[in-house]
Amino acid sequence: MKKILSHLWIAIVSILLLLPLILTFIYSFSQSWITILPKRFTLDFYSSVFGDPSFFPALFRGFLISLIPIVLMNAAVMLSLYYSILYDSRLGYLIQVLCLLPYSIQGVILATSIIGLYAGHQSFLSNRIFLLTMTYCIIILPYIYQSIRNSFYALNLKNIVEAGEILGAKKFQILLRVVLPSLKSGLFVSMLLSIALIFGDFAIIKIIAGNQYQTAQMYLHNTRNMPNQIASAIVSVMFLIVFVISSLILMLKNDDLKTDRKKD
Amino acid sequence: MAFLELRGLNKIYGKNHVLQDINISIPEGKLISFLGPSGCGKSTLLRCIAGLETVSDGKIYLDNKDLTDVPIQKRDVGMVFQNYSLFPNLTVFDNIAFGLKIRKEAKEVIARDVNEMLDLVGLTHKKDRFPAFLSGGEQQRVALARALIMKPKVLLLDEPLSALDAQLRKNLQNEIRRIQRQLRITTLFVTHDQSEAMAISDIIYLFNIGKIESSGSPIEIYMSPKTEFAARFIGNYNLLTSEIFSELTGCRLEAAYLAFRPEVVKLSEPEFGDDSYFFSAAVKEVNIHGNFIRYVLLAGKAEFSMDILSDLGDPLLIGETRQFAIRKDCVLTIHES
Repeated sequence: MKKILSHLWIAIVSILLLLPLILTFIYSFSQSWITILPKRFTLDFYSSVFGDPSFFPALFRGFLISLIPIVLMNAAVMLSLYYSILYDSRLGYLIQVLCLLPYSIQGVILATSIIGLYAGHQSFLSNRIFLLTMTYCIIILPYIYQSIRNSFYALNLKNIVEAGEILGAKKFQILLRVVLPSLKSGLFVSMLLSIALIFGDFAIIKIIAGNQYQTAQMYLHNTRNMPNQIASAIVSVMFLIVFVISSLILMLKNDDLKTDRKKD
Repeated sequence: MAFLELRGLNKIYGKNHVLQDINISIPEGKLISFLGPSGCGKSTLLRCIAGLETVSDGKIYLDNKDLTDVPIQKRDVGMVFQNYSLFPNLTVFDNIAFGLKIRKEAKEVIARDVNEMLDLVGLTHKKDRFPAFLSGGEQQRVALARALIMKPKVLLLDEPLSALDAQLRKNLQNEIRRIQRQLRITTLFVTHDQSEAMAISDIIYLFNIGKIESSGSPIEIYMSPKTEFAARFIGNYNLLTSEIFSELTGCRLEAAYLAFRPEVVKLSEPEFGDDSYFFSAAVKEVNIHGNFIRYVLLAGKAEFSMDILSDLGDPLLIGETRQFAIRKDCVLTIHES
């Protein structure tokens, strides 16, 4: 009985979660939907979206603005942690506090504060694309930090470096030949998580850059005066992209779990 | 000068004097154990020799060269860590080849040497496996091969068997000893397990709170402990103060402690003569250890243990009082506490 109830509960929750997505997807194909069921289906809205020359650049810009903060933050966090673990473990606590601090700051508040602080500045600091990149750096920092720190601990970094040094290698050689390849899976997971996070953002980009830097989310916002099916088509395409990213993360995690089980 | 010489070595962490005036001379080709309880400084000493820790004071000489300030990479020492520290992204072959690749040896030399090492440690059939897919014993052998392939002047083993189960430990003790004798490599072995040190070493250095408590061959260390600590740590010696020993046997001996091993306590037999101390004691505890039984005996204020082989008749019962004997030459006098 308990089993049936739990299955039933899972089914209800699944329907509630999936229904808006399924309906959005169906709606994006419908010519019109004013009765219970849509009248006719069409690919017109998709061809209109894909035919718009500004859609793919917007998608590309979305990826670009995701990738730059990720690369910057991965490099910054990895080198800081590498240094603190090898040379001064007390720095590790400071790095932890600094990296986890953004968890407590809401994205919109952060964006508004940054605009208030730097908008009037007469230097590169007031450049909206620069501000947007740096804001995303702050937002993804906790996720990148957690992932890299866990990978370092799992690797037992200090002992690995000591073992390499006794075999004649310099710390930099060990970083390139052993540490980075061993962190690959952890880095990949944090990168994909961050891409999904930034790619799905609308509020921060709207506040900081507006239409100066049109990403897929801003493109979606700008279709608000067009037929609703177009917005649904864009949402469906973006959902598909995020879904692919999430699936990749799950695949990587499952690979790690399999490795751990074999190890046991 | 000995092959490896440590002179007046001190290591201080803040207020902790971890190593205090360590002086050791180690001959070439021997297996030396640093034995002692956790936190006594034995691993720190090994790390100082490897260059992983700087020394606060003193000198380290290896093969007539001052090693004290030489960088880790140029010390010509090999090390196996307690947790093996294998490189998880490299196969067994590549783990062993790592040092040679860093040294930029020719590919043919690397292949030949690695295959020799794989053969030596019996892992040729697993050369393409990653460390995650090896057992603890196999990982330990890879770590050993990875250190040995560099042909170091000294091999440092930092509790390399402590993470393994009892049976595997014994097998690998024998294997380490076989390889060490085959290669005639000077080896320093850190352990807190006295039976492991006894089984494997040519010479044992016993450490206590950053100092060398005593040193000698395993049999010397076992049979003739010089201090109370050495007697307690090695061989599970029974230690009785002079007064209590006098109450037990009726004989007064001048010493801080009288020490005797559990296996020298015997059930009294009619043929025992004047060369033995006799006394009566009650059995307080009986602990079965497989091939021997350990009894805890109580006689007045004296409490001590006795080991008897399991096949020597019916075991004694708790509460049973019997007559016991200890040969006089088996009782050692300890003057230092």
